[in-house]
Amino acid sequence: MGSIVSDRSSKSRRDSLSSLLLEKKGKGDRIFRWIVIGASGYTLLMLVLVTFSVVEGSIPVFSLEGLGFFIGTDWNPVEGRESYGALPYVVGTLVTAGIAMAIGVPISLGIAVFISEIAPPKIGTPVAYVIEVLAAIPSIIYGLWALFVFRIWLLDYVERPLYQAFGGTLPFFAKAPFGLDVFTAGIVLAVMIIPIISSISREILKAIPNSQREAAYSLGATRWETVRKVLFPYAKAGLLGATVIGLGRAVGETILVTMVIGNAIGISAIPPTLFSQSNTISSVIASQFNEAVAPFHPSALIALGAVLFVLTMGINVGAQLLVSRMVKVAPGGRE
Amino acid sequence: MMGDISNVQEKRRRAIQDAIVHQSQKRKLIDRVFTGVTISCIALAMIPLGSILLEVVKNGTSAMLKTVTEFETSLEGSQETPSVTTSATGKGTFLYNDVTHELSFNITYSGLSSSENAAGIYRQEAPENDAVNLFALPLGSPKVGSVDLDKLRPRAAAEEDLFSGLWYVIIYSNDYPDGELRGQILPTGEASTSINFDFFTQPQGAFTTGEGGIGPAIQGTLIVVGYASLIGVPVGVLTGIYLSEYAGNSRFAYMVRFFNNVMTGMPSIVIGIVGYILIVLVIGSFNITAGAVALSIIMIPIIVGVTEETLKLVPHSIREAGHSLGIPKWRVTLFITLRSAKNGVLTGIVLALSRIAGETAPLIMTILGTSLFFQFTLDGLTNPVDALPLRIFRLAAQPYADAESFGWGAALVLILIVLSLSMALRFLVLDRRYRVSGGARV
Repeated sequence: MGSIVSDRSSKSRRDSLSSLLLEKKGKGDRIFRWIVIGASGYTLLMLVLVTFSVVEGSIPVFSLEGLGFFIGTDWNPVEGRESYGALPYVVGTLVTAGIAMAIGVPISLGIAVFISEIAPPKIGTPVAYVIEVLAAIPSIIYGLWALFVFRIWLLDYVERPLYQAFGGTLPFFAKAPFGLDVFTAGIVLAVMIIPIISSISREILKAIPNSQREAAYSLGATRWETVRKVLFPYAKAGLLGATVIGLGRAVGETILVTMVIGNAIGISAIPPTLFSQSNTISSVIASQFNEAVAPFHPSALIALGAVLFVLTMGINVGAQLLVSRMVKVAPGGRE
Repeated sequence: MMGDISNVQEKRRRAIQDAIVHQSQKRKLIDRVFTGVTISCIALAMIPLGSILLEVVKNGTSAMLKTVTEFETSLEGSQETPSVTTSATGKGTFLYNDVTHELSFNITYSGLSSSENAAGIYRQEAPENDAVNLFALPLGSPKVGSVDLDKLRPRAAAEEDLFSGLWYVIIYSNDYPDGELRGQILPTGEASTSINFDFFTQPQGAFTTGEGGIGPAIQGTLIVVGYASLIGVPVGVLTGIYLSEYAGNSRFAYMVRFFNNVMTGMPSIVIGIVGYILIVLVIGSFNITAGAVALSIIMIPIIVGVTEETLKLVPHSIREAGHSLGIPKWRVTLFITLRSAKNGVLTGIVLALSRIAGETAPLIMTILGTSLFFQFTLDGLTNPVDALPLRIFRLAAQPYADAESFGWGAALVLILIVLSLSMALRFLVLDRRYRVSGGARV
């Protein structure tokens, strides 16, 4: 390759150029192709590893409890008398997530609508940024704040007044509040999922073609009418998807819930009132994992992880399908 | 008759007009209410944000500072009850450090009537109460040394007594077995506050003393996050490259994309199980690799998504220019396409880093937490490691005020790490974003 040329720099330059040319159909491309395919394969392998681990880890407890694990309400991690059931924690998870959704979704939609439909960009952009900051705060810090600050506010200004007003009449409030309960956990979870749901909803509202809005306004519709009768129906699937993604987060959130839910065990984790202590699937795992010494206890906790895995997997697949359909329906979107 | 008809028509017209006006007023009102509701939604979201930041900064900084307060006393016989007539006098200065809880003293006296046989620091509520001995002081003048308030329980009450002047120095001599010199310890009003560097560099002391720091947690977070990104960044970026540059619409690519999206929503505690089953149980102890692998699984889908999106935004003409020069595709991809999408890819990486820096749940099952530093030896690889979120979690579970204060301090460090990452990100993409949106700088 160009050995006659005496000028070194031009030789090396030509070498590198020719090597570039020669390589075109050569090894480099093939190797790199396999590298990127390998990396992609690894990302699929991760899901396989997660699945394998939760299955592998939960086999012992299923050999002990059988399918009764799913409907059992006992939780006794004492060696020799071990008995485990997941039902109370599934209920606890659904109740806290339900409270979080009931509070979080309307507020998130309000925020999304304000930023994308009502506020001028000069106000909307910084507001959106601040909401993003809320999303960047780690959940352990929400937990710390909830445990030492917010719980006490909530107890003094919301829970006690509610108990005094309705404790005798409504079964929801029929327990003297203490601050560490499903109500607190649900509200702090709502605070945590608001930035997630609102930012996805905002993107989805932005993806609605402007022609839709213009048509509504040209008919004399007010902003409220446009949002309610045109935009929401148009973006129904996407907004539902955003909500479901928020639900996935609420169901899987661990540390924050562990710190404020009160960690009830067994049948007492099924909360009879809003002010009852409970436990979610993930919070049981987090609070007991390091103290699990009985032979089946770690396995029971991992089996709870398996239940959570299936639950969130279902939620996420559903959400992905909903959101991707919406984004495909409205490609490009509004500038 | 004609007049009546036109009257009726007129009335009807007016009624309709009124109805229209009324309805449009009602619609406007509803619209205003709607706007108000959305604004109050924003306010509702801002309150927790404000409160969290305020509390973390307020409580966190007080955990990071140390205050040294000056006290002084003048020793006189007349302060004794009953008063003692002696020519002896003395004085003392004290410095109280609110982090180590040590009170250092320097007491001198002269002219004692006979030789000194005991000296000590006493607490006395009022002259008629008995003096309670708290600490014995060494004999002789000058007396130099320090006493530790952590030896007194509860310490907070002892501190309060000291600051409100209930503490005394009493010196006994052979001639005056009830004390010859006595002086009240009073704050001079001088106090100096400085940053407590021990908080950042030392391991945790006993929870009750509030000594030491969160050094191992800071070190552990940096190491675990670094280790995780060694795995996560290359895999994530290469997969993003595959999806955008190589995959097209193949079924494999669809699966990769779909399951990456699904993994984004996977609860982190479930991902912790992978580290536990595949690494902790195999090695036989909680260790750093398990934590790093678990965190990398959390970060990869985030990086993949952002990388793919940004690479797709790179105009085709740039790639074509490269290809037309005969440069092989892998070089075009790495040195031309990826380089022009640098900002976006970095965005994804920073996003993923700030997410995993705050993760707690998977670390419970993988690195466990410890109050020791990570050792850069083979043994270090098979020992538990600490991390900031984990430390906050453990501290918050302790029933001691000092532990709580440390927790806030650790939270402030963590939030500074995470927010500075996202601020850095904002400056990183500032140019591009604002050029696109027409220069509307916030």
